[in-house]
Amino acid sequence: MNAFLTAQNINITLGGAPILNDISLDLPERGLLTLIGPNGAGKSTLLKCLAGLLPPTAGKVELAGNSIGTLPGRERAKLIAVVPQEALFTVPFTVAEFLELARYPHRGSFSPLTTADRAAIAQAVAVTDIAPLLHRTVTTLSGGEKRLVLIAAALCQESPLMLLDEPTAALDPAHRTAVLRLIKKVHGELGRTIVLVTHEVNDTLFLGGTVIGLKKGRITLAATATEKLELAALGALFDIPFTHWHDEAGRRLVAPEVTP
Amino acid sequence: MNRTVRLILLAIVALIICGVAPFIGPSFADDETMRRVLYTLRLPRAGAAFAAGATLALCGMVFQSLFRNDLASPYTLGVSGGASFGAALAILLGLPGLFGIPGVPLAAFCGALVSVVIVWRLSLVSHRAGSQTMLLAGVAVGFFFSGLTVLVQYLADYSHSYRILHWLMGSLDSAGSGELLKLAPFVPVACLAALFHRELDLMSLGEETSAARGLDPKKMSLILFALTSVAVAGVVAVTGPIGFVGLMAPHIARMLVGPSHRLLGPATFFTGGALLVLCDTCARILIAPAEIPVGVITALLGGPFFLWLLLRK
Repeated sequence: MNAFLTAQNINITLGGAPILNDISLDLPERGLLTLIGPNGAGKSTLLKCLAGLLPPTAGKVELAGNSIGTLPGRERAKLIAVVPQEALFTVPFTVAEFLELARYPHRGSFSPLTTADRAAIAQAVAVTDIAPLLHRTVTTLSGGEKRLVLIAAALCQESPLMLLDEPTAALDPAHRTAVLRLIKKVHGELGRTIVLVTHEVNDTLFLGGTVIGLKKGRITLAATATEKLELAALGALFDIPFTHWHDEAGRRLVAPEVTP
Repeated sequence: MNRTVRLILLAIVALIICGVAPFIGPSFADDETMRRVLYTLRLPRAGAAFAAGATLALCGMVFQSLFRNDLASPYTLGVSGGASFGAALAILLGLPGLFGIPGVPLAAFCGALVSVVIVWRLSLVSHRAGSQTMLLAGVAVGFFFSGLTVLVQYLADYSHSYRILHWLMGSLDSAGSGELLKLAPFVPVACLAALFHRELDLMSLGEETSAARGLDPKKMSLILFALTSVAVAGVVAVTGPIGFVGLMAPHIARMLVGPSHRLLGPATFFTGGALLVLCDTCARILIAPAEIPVGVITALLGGPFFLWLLLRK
């Protein structure tokens, strides 16, 4: 098994409360994994742990043979990029300045912007299509634009693994579709390994790859290929019966059964 | 206008202010006297004002970034409270100096560091986010030491009490080349903190983002707090607590060159230095031949400045 990312028996306790319980998972290089589950299941906590931002109480996370807990910060950031659900956009940096700051793992404290830095930023801007935003200040961006800028900044880190926390939450349909297509592109064309957290089962079905279900800090839905995701398993995970249908293009869509 | 050009213009204006300030004020017909007043009194004093202002301003800038709070100042961690208590105690008890440093600035320096260490230790035992606790603990410790200072002042006799009051107002009136030399070592300490410009940028984006970019926010803030605390304690020990410069100068600099610390650092340095030279010149000449403590001038400017900052949009 040539796993790229592995988590072994992760336990996390925060302030005395167990948040994650014996979580193990692995993902091959260029894999795509979605973590789904109800609110409070521990998905975001698991993502932070995989990112190396929250050390597990027990267990370990390995990435390409490195134990991420022992990596120095900047080395870790060269391997792992995180797209948070929200960032503190309170300081009026321009988008260009914000992206340059995302090169910190490569540049450190004092080195100027090299051609490699410029190339990485240019690629991130091209892939996310945010060239018109470069001279705007981040405080004036809309929610959808902020999300694109956060993904572009993560791309600037040029790390093989990208972790995204609810990347489509609170977006309008157009921006949601744009973000989903972008994630597919980052995975397919740029060959990044992706782990994302979402409540939207249809996002998971659109993106493909593997899905894991978390409930009350445990894996209750073991790794499954998205096309084999069964309604019964979804129902058990979210405590509400699900139904599904196929759209005109033949894509499968799911939704909770709503009884009036 | 390009931000780099603005920084260069700002530096030129600041240096002109420093160069011109010593020539403002009563002149003496006798050339020899005039030369002496200029070279042994007014020039070193302008230099001391610039050094103190620039250091306080840089520390204010670092604190505003670390706390992500526009109201953070060099005194946020209770430095001025601790220093005041130390100074008041030294004046009351007539504490002796050590290693050639007089008792009052020495006690003020120690008091400032004691208050910072208390605030820092408090933030370690709390469950809240570190910086938020430090902010609140700083205010609490500051008030506590202010209370002690008032108590010391109350217990002191008339002349001691007057000296304490005078110290508390913050002043450069006795500043000469000696004071300039005492301040000099603390300027590079503050500059060293400001050199971490990329880290300051990242810290101003929040701990989560800076950690995701590979920075260790806890370690970095500890380094920055240590450097700035020593620098502020040093300046306060020499000049007394001169307020508002450390709060205002970074904001003025930000309006001129934007939020990126690569330009903001040098801009804050020049703004803070020039601002305190200007205020000190006003303190010297407004009711000449008497003087107003410069802390009074900066406070009188600082209040309206903040109202303007608040209402400007």
